[in-house]
Amino acid sequence: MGKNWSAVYTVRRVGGLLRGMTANNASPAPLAATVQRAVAGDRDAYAVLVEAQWSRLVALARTVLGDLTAEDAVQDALVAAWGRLPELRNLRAFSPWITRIVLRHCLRRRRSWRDWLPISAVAEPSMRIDPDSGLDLERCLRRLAPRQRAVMYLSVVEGQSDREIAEVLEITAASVRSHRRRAREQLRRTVGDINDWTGAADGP
Amino acid sequence: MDREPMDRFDDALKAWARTPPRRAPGDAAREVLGRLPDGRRRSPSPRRRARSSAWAWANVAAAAALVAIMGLRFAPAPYLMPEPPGPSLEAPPLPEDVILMWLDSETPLYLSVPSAAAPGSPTPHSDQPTPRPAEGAPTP
Repeated sequence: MGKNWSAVYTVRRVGGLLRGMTANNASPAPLAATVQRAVAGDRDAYAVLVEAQWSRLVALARTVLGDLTAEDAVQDALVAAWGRLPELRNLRAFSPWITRIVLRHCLRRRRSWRDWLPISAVAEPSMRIDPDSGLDLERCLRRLAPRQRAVMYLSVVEGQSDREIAEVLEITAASVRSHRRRAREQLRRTVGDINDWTGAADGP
Repeated sequence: MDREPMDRFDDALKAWARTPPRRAPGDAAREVLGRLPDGRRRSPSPRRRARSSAWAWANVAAAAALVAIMGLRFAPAPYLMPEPPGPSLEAPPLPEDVILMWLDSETPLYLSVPSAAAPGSPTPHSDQPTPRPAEGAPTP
């Protein structure tokens, strides 16, 4: 029987030091030190990084893949990323690096099946229709290509610049702008098709 | 207030992104930790790097050998390849009083040697082969 790493992690976890740390508000020095330890093979340090990045990576994966398989996809990508940590050159670029790996994993998984797995299949019905805008988010996202969804998420939710998004998606900044423009056009058409803006839910 | 559709989409997307995942971050980290392979990670070890370096050098050497072979095969290298046989110039049968000399590999010189009784020096002829004299005909 192998070592119970999860139990070891629970005992030795760095309590509170990096709690609530996200890619946006983490101070660079502790994060870089943790990344360095993870690169050196420290599993506990890697677990701290995973915990810090988990929520935002799942949100990104859900936008690209839908709710059903997003968390499994992110977990698979994080397990694969552990083996690739020695490739990380810039310790301060861990967040875009792990985002790139997770996104690549999601896009590859997305290519393996054709149909959008509906968010509503698992999520509560209220998640399908945004209560404030009355907008059917699932319908809107379904009309976008996976890369367009990723660009919209990184632009709108995380507020990343075109250059930062280009680095994550491994495309040019011009391609990022093109994806976003086409996504906006498609969304305008989609929203135009939705006649009801008062929040009435679509039929099943 | 009638907001722009894109603003509504952006707000809806942000709200959707704030939805917490089903697995808590700590639980997810523990699960990932439990799935990590035991022992050495799949990372390029020094020995593996050396092996891949040796393969790289072997590939370079094989490519260089292939280029050398192709170059030797197709490039003009007269000292390596036998000279292709030129057109064979067989001298026509000569009369007894005609001497054939080759100025170069393609230019014969025919000299007619007069008989011992006849005065004069050998007369050079053109490079055209001397027609075989008919029987009994005097030699030019």
